[in-house]
Amino acid sequence: MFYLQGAGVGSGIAVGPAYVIQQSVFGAAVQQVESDQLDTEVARLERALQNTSQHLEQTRLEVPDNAPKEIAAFLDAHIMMVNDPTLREETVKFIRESHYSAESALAAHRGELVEVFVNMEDEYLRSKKADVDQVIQQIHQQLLKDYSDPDVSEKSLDGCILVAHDLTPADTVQFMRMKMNAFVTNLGSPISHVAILAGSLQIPAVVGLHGAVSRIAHGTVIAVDARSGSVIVDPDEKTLERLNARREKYERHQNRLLALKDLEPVTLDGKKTTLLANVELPEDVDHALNCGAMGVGLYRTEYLFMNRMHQPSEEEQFQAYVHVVKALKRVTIRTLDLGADKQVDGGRKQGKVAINPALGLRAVRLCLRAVGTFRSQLRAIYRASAFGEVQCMIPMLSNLEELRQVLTIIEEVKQELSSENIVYDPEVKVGGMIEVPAAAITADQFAQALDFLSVGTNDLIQYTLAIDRVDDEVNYLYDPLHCSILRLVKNVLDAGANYDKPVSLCGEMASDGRYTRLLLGMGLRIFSMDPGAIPEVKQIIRQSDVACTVPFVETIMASSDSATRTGQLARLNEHGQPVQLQL
Amino acid sequence: MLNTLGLHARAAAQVVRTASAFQSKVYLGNGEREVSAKSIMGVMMLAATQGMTLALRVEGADEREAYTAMNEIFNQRFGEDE
Repeated sequence: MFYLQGAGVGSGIAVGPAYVIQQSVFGAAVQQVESDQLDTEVARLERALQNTSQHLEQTRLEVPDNAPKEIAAFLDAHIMMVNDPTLREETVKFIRESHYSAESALAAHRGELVEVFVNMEDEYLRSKKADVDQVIQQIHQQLLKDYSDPDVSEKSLDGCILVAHDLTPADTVQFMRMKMNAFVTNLGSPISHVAILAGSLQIPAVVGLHGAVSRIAHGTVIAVDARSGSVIVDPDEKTLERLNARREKYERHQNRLLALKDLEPVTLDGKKTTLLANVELPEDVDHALNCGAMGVGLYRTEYLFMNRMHQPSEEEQFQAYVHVVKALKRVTIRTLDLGADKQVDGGRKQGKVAINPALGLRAVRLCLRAVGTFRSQLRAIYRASAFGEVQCMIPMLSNLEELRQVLTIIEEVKQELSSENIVYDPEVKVGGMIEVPAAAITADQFAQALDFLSVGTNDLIQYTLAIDRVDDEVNYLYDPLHCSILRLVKNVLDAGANYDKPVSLCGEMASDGRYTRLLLGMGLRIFSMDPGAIPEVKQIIRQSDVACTVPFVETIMASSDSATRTGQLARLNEHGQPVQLQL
Repeated sequence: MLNTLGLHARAAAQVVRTASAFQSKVYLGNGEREVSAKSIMGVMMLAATQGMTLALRVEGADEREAYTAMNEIFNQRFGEDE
């Protein structure tokens, strides 16, 4: 038995037989070829580049639905690197000028690239050396196929722990299908893509364990602990017992969270709340379901429009919406919130960059300018309403005239669909994001004109406090507890209560457990948040008594001193339960 | 370089896609080296971080359009989120 130490990533503990894969590593002596062989070597290189590119393209198509979204992005980057004209030219230069074999030329060019990367100061950029290495490794594998066809086993890895020099994004797609239990790699760091992968798959892994492949024998039983980053090779009876006990404890903890999943988010004094998920990508749906989301309170649709040259068709949007609606039943789809920090590639030709994009042509303003795009999105949303409870939410509203224009367009779209005999739910609720101070102040007017309101605290705080959260110079001023913010949020909640219109909160404040009791006390009942935050917020709600929070909330709202507000909030979170209230 | 993350992989990919859409030769330099903006490896090797100044050199039939497009993606911070 012996210990190896690396960086732990992912989560949990796994014990199982090691499945060691041997991969080609550079370092072989330089191989030179005769002058009449140069054309052959160049041709071999070209073929290897082409095969690698094809292989990656193919893998890209086979990425399983449950794969983390990062994998596709990594594969795209690798495809671009394999097709890099400079990579090809520089390698060919080594063949032509130094008479190197294709393999040696590739290794030589890799050497040049790696030297630049390892000398970079920025840690993030330096870590990109791993991508360069992986791409070159894959091209190298293709070159080696000219001599032998390495048998890529498609065996099941069920219960095994994979031990490898490094895993490429393409490898991970393959190994995900083979059901690995955990993995250990020589290379990698906590910010590399293998780490992200372990996190998404929720399996334990240890990366950056130099010498793992050479020191762990194939088939030996090993234990991997994500939290400590240690790998125990060939553990003895006692260690195994201890490990199993810890694994059981970890699983019990996971199960507790899971058990929470089916419990009602109801307070101690019987107030029912609704916990919804904020989602963006189709993959987020499973995560939301696993975390116990009761529906989607904010479906961001921008991703469909970003990083591409042409706008998605109505049909493509419809398919994406139906996917989410079918899975989560109750979905609030927000219409396009582009502009400001979210630009579309295709929008490049739309003119100059605004001087102050956050205050410029964005979200609903942009939609009212590009009515064709807006209509096709609305059609897709209404068509999706035939498959579940769909609500339509308009972002960035600042005045009622704008809202009336939107409502007119919605009526026209509905009539259009009716005349085409397309099925939709005529009762789709239309609501607005309250994120501009103007709308928060006149929330009573918006509450009358709309079916529901949703407070977007991120933008509301930015606009109210006049600070850019992304700007390092001023973001210390970002304060959700600022009196103005609390008053605005309260104003929106009261307006909703007065006109009997539901109000939800979908900004980061809803995901942050520190604000849960405060918001409950202010009257919020519908929280929409990052799915991962749902279990914790639910637990807090189940341990809260709304009546007991009220005195604290009143003190916080009335205080003009920021330290008092923070202190009272801490007391509310610590003591705001029924038993301790007799102060 | 205006964006906080510097020329990370996604931004580098966007630079390459934009540059590759033009016939002109497009180069980026950081004072130490000059690389083709159509090469992903090259662009990544610039190790451009926030606050760094890069030199853009364009040469060819559609150089004006290429110059404008390249300037724009840098000024728009690659559409980077918060």
